[in-house]
Amino acid sequence: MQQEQQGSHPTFETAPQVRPAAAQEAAEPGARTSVRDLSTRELGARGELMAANNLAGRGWEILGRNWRCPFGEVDIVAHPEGERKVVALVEVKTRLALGQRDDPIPELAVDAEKRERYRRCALSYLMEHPEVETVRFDVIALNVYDENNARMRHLIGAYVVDN
Amino acid sequence: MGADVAAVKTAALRGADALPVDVEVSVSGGIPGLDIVGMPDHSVLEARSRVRCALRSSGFELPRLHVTINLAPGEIRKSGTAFDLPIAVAILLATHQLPPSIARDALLVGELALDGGVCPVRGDMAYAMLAESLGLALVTSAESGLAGGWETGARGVRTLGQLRQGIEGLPCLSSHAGARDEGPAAPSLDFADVVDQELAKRAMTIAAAGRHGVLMVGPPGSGKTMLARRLPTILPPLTEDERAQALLVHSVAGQDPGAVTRGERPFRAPHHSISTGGLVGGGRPVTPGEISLAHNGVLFLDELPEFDRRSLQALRQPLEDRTVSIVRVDGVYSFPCDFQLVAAANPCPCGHLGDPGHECTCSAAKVSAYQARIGGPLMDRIDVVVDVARPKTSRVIQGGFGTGSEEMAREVAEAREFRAWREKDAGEGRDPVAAARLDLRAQTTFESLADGLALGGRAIVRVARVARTIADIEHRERVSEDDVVEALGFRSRALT
Repeated sequence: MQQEQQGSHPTFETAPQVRPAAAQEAAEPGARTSVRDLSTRELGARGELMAANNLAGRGWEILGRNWRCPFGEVDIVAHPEGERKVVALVEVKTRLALGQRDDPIPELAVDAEKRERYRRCALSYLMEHPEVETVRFDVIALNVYDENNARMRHLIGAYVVDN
Repeated sequence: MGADVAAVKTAALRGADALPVDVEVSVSGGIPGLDIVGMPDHSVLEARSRVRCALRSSGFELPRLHVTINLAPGEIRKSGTAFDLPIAVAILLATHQLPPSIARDALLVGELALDGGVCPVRGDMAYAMLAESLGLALVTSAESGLAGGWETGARGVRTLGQLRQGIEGLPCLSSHAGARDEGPAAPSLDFADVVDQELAKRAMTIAAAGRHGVLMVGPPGSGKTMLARRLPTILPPLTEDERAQALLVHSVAGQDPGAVTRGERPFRAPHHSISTGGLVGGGRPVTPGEISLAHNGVLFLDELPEFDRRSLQALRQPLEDRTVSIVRVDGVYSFPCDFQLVAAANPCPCGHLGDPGHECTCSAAKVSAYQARIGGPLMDRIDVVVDVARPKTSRVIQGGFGTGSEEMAREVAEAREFRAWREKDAGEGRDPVAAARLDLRAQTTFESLADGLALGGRAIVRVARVARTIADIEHRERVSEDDVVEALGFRSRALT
């Protein structure tokens, strides 16, 4: 089995001015620590929330967050704007763009193993939701610069699964 | 949404044959991606990336849907890049980007470039033959080297986007190939270029007239290679049928047919480092070897003793059957290989044995070991052995002209004509010695000389065959004493 990254022509969308601090308040009230002090897990959760809010703001219908199946977890499940027949399974990758933890291209972390996990999750999702015709795999990459600034890239149809 | 299905006709290459294959495409929802089933090998699977890019750069769309591609029948192993174009077209039909009528009467082959260009593939000739037998129009790359009259029935496509105009809108392949020169161009080689080798030229005439195998023995620089290269110039031109066969083998092997297109006989001179597979055919996928590329032409083995012994052994069965069978797990592959064998060898490792101008530095043991390598079963197929001596220096410097190809070709053609007439009259005898029809004096001379030289049965048969051909050249129904004596001269002294 072969999985092809960026096989179906991902489109890039950049939204440079996302505000992590504002988003964070909604997610974890009381957690006031600076982004610098967050653990990887906390940073990831915050990034997923930011991404979901951004998608919703762009007219996407969020169907679920952290959707679980026996094969793993899907960060965001959503109908893209105007595409009610398609369900996008979105993987969010968040990295701090600071000092030693700098990773300029977080989307590279979506490797073959992760793609295979998403493929299985997609099968699982299609089993549970027979009304869904087509799934799509999106990747959202976030580079967080500081409390108030992050850079976001949204790869639409980031990869397809070939046999 | 029900699955959208479309089918396009193409073919898979197996040996020298093209087998019909249907490319079926089903487009449905689910996980986006391209699946290819029907025993594709790696080169076929790579079509997915090429098709994707080619569709996009030609302005078509590949929807984010699950596309299943089936290459039917599924039990034939598929290999190569010729499926790119039919797969792309089938996807376009299934996604309603092209009208379904477009590929109804066509057989499509071609490799796609990422920019949507259609590149030529190996085996166009086999595809063209299959398309004709199925009553379909072959659609292949506009750069295809298809020749021999087959290009008129085929249509050439330059880019995937051109298909929007329909198959009928595509230009005929022959209109692309305007630059190709048809008609017999004057052969540049001529036996007249070879100075002072009248005996060897006579041997070549005899070999060409009787389709005998030839072995030339002589020191380096004596003109053996020059002589061999000029043999095709005295052979009768290819018939329409023979040319089609030769073109097919070249096409399937992915080789440029070159002069074969103009009706000249193929001439193959593989280097002695050749592998057995390269000589008789093989590889994966199985492709014809040098002996098949020399089909209806000449196979020249220069430095015969340097060839791998196993490779030469592998020539025995093909020489006998004029077709070579390669057996693999998935069956037998057959290629034609009716060629004329011409070999050249030095008389010893240093090459100067028997050369009056040079001293041979080889030990006796070395010489006999070297010559033993030439002997053996292959020698059964070589009737004419001729010593090629170094030409006289003065002749080379003065640049005299000897017998030319034109004269020799006429002799050969007449001898073959006479032979055909004689065989029609008398029928081909089973015993080659009896079939030679020696006259009485020839018979007594042959008997006494064969006794004196202690010729074995094999050697006698060989001499009789050559004597018969010499008589044919002289237009004699019965072989005369002179013919036998001359034939005995073309017998190997060192090697039997």
